[in-house]
Formats: sequence, C-alpha cells, structure tokens
Amino acid sequence: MMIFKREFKRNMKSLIIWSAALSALVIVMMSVFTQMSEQADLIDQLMSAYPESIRSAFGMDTLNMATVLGFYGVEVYTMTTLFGSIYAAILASGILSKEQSEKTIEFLLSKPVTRTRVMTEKLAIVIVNLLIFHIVIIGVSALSFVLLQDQEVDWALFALMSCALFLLHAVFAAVGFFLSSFMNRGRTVMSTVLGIVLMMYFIHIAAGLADSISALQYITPFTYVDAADLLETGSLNILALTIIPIVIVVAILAAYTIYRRRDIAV
Amino acid sequence: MKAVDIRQLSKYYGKSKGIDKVTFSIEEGEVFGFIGPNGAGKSTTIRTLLNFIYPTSGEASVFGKDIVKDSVEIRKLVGYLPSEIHYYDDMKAVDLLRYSASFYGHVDETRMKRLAERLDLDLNRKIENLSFGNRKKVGIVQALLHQPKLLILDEPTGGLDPLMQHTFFEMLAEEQQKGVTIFFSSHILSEVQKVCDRVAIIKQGELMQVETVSNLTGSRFKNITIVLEPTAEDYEFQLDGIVHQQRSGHEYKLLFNGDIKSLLHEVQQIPLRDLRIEEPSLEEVFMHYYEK
Repeated sequence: MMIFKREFKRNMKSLIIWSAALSALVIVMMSVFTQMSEQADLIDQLMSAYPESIRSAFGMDTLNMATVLGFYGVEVYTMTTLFGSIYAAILASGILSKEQSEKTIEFLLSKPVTRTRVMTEKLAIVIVNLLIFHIVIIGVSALSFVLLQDQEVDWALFALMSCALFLLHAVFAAVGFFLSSFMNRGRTVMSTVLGIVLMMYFIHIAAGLADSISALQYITPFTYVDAADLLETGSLNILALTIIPIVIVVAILAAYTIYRRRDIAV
Repeated sequence: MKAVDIRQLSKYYGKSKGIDKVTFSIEEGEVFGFIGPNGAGKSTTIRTLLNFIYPTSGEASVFGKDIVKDSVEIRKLVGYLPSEIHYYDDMKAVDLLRYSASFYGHVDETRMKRLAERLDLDLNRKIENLSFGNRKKVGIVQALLHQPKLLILDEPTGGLDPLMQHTFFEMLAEEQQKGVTIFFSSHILSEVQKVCDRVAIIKQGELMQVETVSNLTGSRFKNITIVLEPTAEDYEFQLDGIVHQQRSGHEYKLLFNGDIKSLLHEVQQIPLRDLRIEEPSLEEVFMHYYEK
C-alpha cells in the first residue's frame, strides 16, 4: 500500500484541477441551457447558425436540443468525452513513466517489491482517480439537471451515458498505461498518447462529416460511445461493449508482460 | 555460504557488451572492492545483481538466492547506494527515508536520526533544495537504515567532502564489525585500498583479476612531475624504478616505482623549480601492472 498512498498524494492536485475544471464546464453549459429553454426560439437560432454538415457531425440533427439530455449530449458530453480522455491518458501514461524519466525507478526497484506489485498499486491509483473524477463530474451534471432546469430527466438514459463516458476514458487510460510500460521518456509518452486521443477525436468528427471516410469511424472509440447513437437507441452499442473491454484487458495484460520482463536502466 | 556468487555472468545490450562472462564471489563479512574505469561494467554488474536488468547468460546468487527468481528476497537483505542519487523532488529527506523504510516493515526513527546526525544532514530540507553531496548523504542513510546484511555501494564517495568521507568510512567499519558484507564499487584506487580486503578489477566488461589489496599495493607506482629552472641544461634521470619517462621543455614526467628516498636524493642535486608526486590514475597502474 506504500506506493498507492504515495501516488495518491502525488496525483491529488491534478485530480482536483481536472475535476474542478470539467465541473465548471458542466455548470456553465447547463446554465446556458437554462436560459435558452426559457426562449425556445433561441435554440432554433443556435442550431441554424451551424452548417448542416457540422450539425450531423455532432449529432445535432438527430438530437433534440430542446430536451435536457439532447442538449447535454451535444454541448456537454462531447466536451467531457474529449477532455476526460485527455485527463485519463495523461494520468495513466505518467504513472509509470514518471519514475523512469525522473530516474527514481532505481530507488523503488531496490526496495523489496516485485514489479507486478509496483504496477498493480499504480494501476489502482489510475482506477481510483478515474472513479473519483467520474463521480464528481457525473454528480455535478446530475445536480445541474435538478437545480438549473425543470424538465423531467430520463435518469436511466443518463446513467447509460455516464457508463459510456467511463468506458471511453478507461480505454485511453489503458492505452496510456500500456505505452508507459515500454517508453522511457515521460514527455514522449505523454505527447504520443495525447496525439492518439486527438487523432481519434478528429477521425470521429471527420468521419461524421464526410461519407467517403465513414468506414474509418470504427477505429475510434469515440464512435462507439456517440451521444446521438446512445440517445436514439437507448442502449450501448454492441461494439462498445465488446471491443472496448477487450482493448482495455489486452493493453493492461501487455503492459504487465512487457514491464516485468524488460531491463530498467536509467 | 557466499554473500555474492557470480558465475559466468554476461549482459549484452543488443550487440554492445555490458559485461562478459564475469565470475567472482564475495565471502560473508568481507569488504570487497570492485574497481575499473568508467564504463567498464561495474554498474551493469550491480544492476544485474539487483535485477534491474536481466542477465543475457550466466547466473548469480546473493546469500544463496537466485538474482532473477528470488530478487525480492535478496532486496530485503541489501542496502543499495547508487552512484547517481535521484529521489522524489517534492519529498523532504525525512519523508523519503520513511517511505524507503516502510518497504522493510518498520521505520527505525532513532537509527535514522543518529545516522543523519553523524553525516550532519538536515532531514527537514526538501530534496530538490539539497546539494549533490547532501543528496548523497540521504542515499547513505537510505542504504544503511534498514540494517542490511549486504551493502552495495556504487561510487559512494562522489560529492562527499574529505571530512564526510572520513565519517563515512568510519560508519562502514562499524557495519563491518557487525558482520555486514560490503561490495564497494569505485574507480578510485586509493579509497578501495583503504577499506577493502580484496578487489576485483574489471575492464571493458571483462574481469581482469581478483586480488588481495596487499598484493595490489605491493606495486607502489607514483607519477612524478619535475620542473627544472629555465636556465637548466638538459638532464637525463638515471634511477632504478623509472618505468616511463616523458619530457616537454623543462618539465619531466616519470612513472616511478623505485625507492622514493633515492629519487629525493637525486632531485636535490639538480636546479629544481617544482616537484609533484601523485597517485597515478588507475588506468596507468593497470597498464603497467598487467604488462609484467
């Protein structure tokens, strides 16, 4: 538990900052909704301000922006999926590679702990921090539905969206953890994993815009947890429920296998 | 049982050689020196013993435990002082030491304070604000705190001032009294001579020889630099024990292992401006030691 405690302290600050920043984002966007729902024609104006292709890319054509979850799906969920993925990726990719780049790994591995134990305690920190992060932003979202507006909310659907959010972030965390198991430089790992997140997000948007590359959408997890899809079908895509967990498990197992066998040189 | 037993241990990084077929052993309670120039494979050997890196071939054991299979068991018994100290910058020295000790079960606060006091180390300073030498002291306390049976010290004196080095060697002597085995890696011959019973000499990844210190010190090589007055005539030194002579202008450099008194006698006869007598570098000694 020593490594867990130590890492918990060390990562506390960034957990607080990211949770607070995204909570603020949720609150600001939901208070925009409050104002808009008082003047229904504002929403129509807002919608028509976007070109049609953009509307379809962000699911605004199928989502009813006048309903609270429709608005949440377009304006909040798209933001939390992106920024949450960035947070998850940074958190998970730094947890191992930081010891490497700051050369403290020699200290840690000279203590009587197995590498498996080092990884497990660090992975536990990633999971716990992600859980806290989600409890905060999901809790703040739910509170904003109750306090900032007076429509009925489909809570089951909201719970589904929240699960999708967590699945998405978990997959990027797993990829980050995997990369940091063999890449030595903290900064390289972080920029690689950020590049992956942004690339995936971009492909998701681009594939929605242009039919010619729409097949590409299946390589990005953002597609699997698309808000429009979730709200329309009321269930999680079968791909989200299979491919994402498989990728998570494979990435973590691969990380363990590689890290336990590799030379740790500083 | 041997404290350390290394058999035909090799480590290659891809094609480049770290160490090749190194074989030697250290008795329990012995102070064992490990010398060689930088990049000779000293740290590679140590890192293999601690299983930071995996051996390419060969095997080794510490107190009879296999370095790969029983690494955690071994690390319970070992105190390791790396040549370069890197600790968590956000921690105070005392936090680092408590964190370190917690892996071995309990934190001996009294021992920690006593060790820190002897090294004149302020435990409440943040590690990022510590000088190189003070970080080294944190490293020393860290290595000794949990009362290990084997101390592995990689270039331990770097950064310590002479007074601190003295204290440090005193502390090592006390540990040895208690039966602790010490594996002392260094490129400085004189400090190895001072504390070790035996030394292993490693060069370019290969073990040259394992020697008792008394054998090594039998060869008293000195580097002598003699500067004559600018007006002096050319001079030829004709002394027993001059292994090598080199001259530039009025400066003469000798590698000397003869009688120092006869040398002093000779320099009294000549128009001397300056005289330096130095320990030769390890490389120089080895070169001549092994030529014979």
